[in-house]
Amino acid sequence: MKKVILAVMILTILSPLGAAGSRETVAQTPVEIYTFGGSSTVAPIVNGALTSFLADHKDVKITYETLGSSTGIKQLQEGTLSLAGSSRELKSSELQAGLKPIVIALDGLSVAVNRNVPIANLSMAELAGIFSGEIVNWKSVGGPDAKIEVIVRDETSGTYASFKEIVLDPTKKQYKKDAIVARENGELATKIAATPNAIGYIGMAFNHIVEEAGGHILTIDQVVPTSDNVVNKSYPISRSLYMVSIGDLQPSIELDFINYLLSSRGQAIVAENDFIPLP
Amino acid sequence: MTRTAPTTFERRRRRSDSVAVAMIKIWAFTAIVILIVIIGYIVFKGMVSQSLQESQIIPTFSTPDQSLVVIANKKSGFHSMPYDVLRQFFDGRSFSLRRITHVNEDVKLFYETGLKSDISEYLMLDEKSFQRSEASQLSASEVLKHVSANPGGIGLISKETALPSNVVKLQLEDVVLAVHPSVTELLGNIKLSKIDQQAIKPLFNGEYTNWKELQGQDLSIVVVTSLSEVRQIPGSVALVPYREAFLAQSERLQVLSSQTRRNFTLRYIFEKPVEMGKYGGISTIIGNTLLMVFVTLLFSVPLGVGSAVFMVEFRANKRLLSIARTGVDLLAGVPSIIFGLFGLLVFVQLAGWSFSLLSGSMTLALMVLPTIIRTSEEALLSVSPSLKEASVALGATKWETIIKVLLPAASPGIVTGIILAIGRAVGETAALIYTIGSGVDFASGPLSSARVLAMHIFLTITEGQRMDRAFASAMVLVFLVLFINILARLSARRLIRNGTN
Amino acid sequence: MIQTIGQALGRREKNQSIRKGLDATAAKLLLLTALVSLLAVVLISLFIMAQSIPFFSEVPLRQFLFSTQWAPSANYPTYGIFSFIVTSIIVTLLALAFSTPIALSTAIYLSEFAQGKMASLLRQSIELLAGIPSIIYGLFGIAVVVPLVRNTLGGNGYSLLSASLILAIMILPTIINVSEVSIRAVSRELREASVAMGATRWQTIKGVVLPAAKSGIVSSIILGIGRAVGETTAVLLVGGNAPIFPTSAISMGRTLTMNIITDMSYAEGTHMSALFATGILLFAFILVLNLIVVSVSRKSRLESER
Repeated sequence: MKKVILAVMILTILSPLGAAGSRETVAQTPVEIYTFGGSSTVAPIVNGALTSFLADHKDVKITYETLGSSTGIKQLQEGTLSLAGSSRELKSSELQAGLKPIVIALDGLSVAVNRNVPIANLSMAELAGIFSGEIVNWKSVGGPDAKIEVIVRDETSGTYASFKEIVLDPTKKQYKKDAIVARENGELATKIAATPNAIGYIGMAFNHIVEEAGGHILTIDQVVPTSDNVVNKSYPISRSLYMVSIGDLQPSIELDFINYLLSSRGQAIVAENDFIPLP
Repeated sequence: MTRTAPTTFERRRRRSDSVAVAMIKIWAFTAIVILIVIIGYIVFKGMVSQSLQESQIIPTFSTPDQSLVVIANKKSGFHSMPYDVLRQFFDGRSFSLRRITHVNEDVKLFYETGLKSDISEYLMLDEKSFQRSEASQLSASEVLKHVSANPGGIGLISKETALPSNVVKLQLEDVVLAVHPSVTELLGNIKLSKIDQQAIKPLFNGEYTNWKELQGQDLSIVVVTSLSEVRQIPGSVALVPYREAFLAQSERLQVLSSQTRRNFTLRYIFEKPVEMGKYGGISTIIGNTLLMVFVTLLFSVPLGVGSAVFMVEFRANKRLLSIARTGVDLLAGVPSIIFGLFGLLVFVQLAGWSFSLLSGSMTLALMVLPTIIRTSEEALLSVSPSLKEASVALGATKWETIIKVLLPAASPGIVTGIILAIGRAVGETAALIYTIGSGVDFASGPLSSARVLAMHIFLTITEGQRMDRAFASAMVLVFLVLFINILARLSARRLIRNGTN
Repeated sequence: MIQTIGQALGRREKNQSIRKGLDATAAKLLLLTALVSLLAVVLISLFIMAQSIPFFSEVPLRQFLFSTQWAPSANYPTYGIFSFIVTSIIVTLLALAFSTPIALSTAIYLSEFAQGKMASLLRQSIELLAGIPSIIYGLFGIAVVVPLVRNTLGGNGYSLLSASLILAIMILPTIINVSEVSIRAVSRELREASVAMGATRWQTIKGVVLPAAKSGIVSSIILGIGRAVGETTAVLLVGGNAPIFPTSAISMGRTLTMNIITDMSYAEGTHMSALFATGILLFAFILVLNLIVVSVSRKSRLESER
């Protein structure tokens, strides 16, 4: 019995050594395994698209790992992933390294507050003030006398970077240091809903998580965050969502998937998930 | 020695003694109390879910004299039927129950012949709605049969009758809070939009006099009874049927309510996860966990037991022995995040295995190695020397002695150690977070990404999915750990029993 | 193939040389497996050191250890982990403060007053506590401890205090187990002598047993420190993860482990080396702790043998 175990163990050790790299076929099974990953904002779109894409491609297995935009881009360069999702623009160093971003959808960033905050609207200036730490009490913006609890994403997040670019950079402000850090859109939404006096930003598609948990979404400069308002540019905080590849894509599963995302079926999935299809 | 009456000194000593002893006992039992609180809480939240809901429709309020009776299959997850949800379905705008009752089914609509015009009028629908929604017109008894047969079945009939056991009648909620536009006006960043369900009765009893008390503007509350009054009087509010308010495009307040429901069901363990674990069950995740344990043991048991055998049997080289033992001690103290870091760089990136079952299991194998080595060594050492001497006396070589005599004798102890290692592996998160991946499907090979139970709980929390699901999964994990714990204890007991033979 | 060899071995009259040969190979095989653990430690240490060396040549040690400015993505990146070191220390000390009284009382109770069913119930509870995964503690922390801290002490609940409360529960079993063993090991003669001199139970415990078991208790506390410092998942969920210098027990903070796990997946270059340097710091610290424990227990063993 123990000899059988020993033999099996030796076989198992030897088999994966022959399958270096995630693209090669695993010994004795015909399924090819691919790994994509990156932004948690892009995740619902990719996962939704994968469900129908893989139904037509039975010989392939693709997973999307939610790691954060920056992590996804890094792992793309490391070769661990073959496609990365990003909710921020690529830095110049990343572009120089040969990475190519492909826009797959538009997205707005909503600002949400906990349900004990009676505020329903903020101006861009007030927003910048709050997130940079210049405004620390809700009474400065018309609310009750309470300390504002700011919740942000961690540095690897594209949402973190996009928000900074759109809201803080124009006034040359920096994020305040003592903000609560959440690692994903969903965690941020839950933290906003669970922390009294909290304010935070999330991708528009995650609005329902906040609302289901009892928080509410603000209007910015009195404009409601909706798809239409993002497309007609009246809602000020919006951005593009990307899939990133190394260099131009050759005919491959990755190219097929990107084309699927950009097709009308793919864009319908974008809309289903409360994102904004490309005009 | 004669016994004298206790002096004050004696009494004081004895009192402080008993106080001290009592304190010790109290502190000691805090450990049990903590355990009960933690496990009890997890199980409670696993079984019972409390969720917040926000809607225009006020829960439990209905207009009198409704002409429609709503029935639904129990599996659909409905406990009442709000007007707007019913309309959504019959208008063909929505088919899935996922977002509404979190059940992974599509609705199937049925209505009694002769009710079509009533339904159209009441729900404000037209012919196109009926076509879109694919609602079927049937006789009353047929409606009952079909609703009973479809897990997502919803039916509209004209009067209450006896229902099959898996079908319930739902209260049709169709009342909203209509307010004058001044109540919901945006003034200085403040805009009242919702009210707690608990506040409604006090509101209509006159316990609130100003909207300020409900986080609104400084405006007096005026309770009225009709929609026309609401439209004219500033600060006014009334309970109005949804249809009326909708047609008049009147301002409405959202209502926040909390619901307590059953959380964990046995189905949860056997259903597959849907949409990356947002809906559905955790069957494949449990499968992945078992697979991960198997692969981890595959690597760590032979290496661990082998090392232990070496350290026990070939003790001649004292220096090598102490180096090996130091190695084991050091490995045992390394924090799990360092293993994760190592695993990310070596297995995921360097070896090119990407986020996979193999990367995660290899990382875990390194982590549990010291546990297995230590317990195996102890077990081997406790085998009586006479057994070994007898085997050698019979002419067996060292190897034969090890395989046929030593290992079998030490197996209960070794097995206990393996079970402890399993317990550790099952509960690990930090070392797996960037090595094993998060794919919810059952792993199709060692290189596929495989989400395990502890990771799933972590991801559920951080991805902001409903906490109920985190608690349900946590309950399953706690029971798994309890089970492993009992196994280990039984195995250790067998060891003691065998040892005394 | 192995089975046929086994069968051949069964016939002891022949094939003596094969048996001897197998014996020798077996010895080498086992040596190999034993060296694997050693190899693992060496590899891990070497790897971490190698990855962190470039960092130490770029950033002065003083800045790394004593600066509170952690800004790896700024235009002029700084890598000061002093805030994280302080947070780790405060969280660990608080956890010890909460956990030691309970742990010691439990250890004393189990070795001095233990009676049948109650004692075994207590032991089983401690075993169970030890086996509960850290994610469960984290979940409990978010759901119960954070709101509790928020409602009683203010702030937003995600704090050093919440983290230390959870850690205190997690290190209970560690301290209890080792302390109990050393309290039990105190010789009966010592105890009986104390009682013979007229001391009450508590006086015996306080004045005789505990001092005699001192080195074991200290070891257990040190092991507890090691466990607390290395914990990641549970503190990540309740600590707030703000990279600031903690000014009070209810302020948010980030421990060394939290910093590694938050940044490790996307860091590159000097940033990644900084994380490895942090890893080495943790590794070395725990190493030192373990060595202290080993030497303390060896010293006490030598003493008791006298």
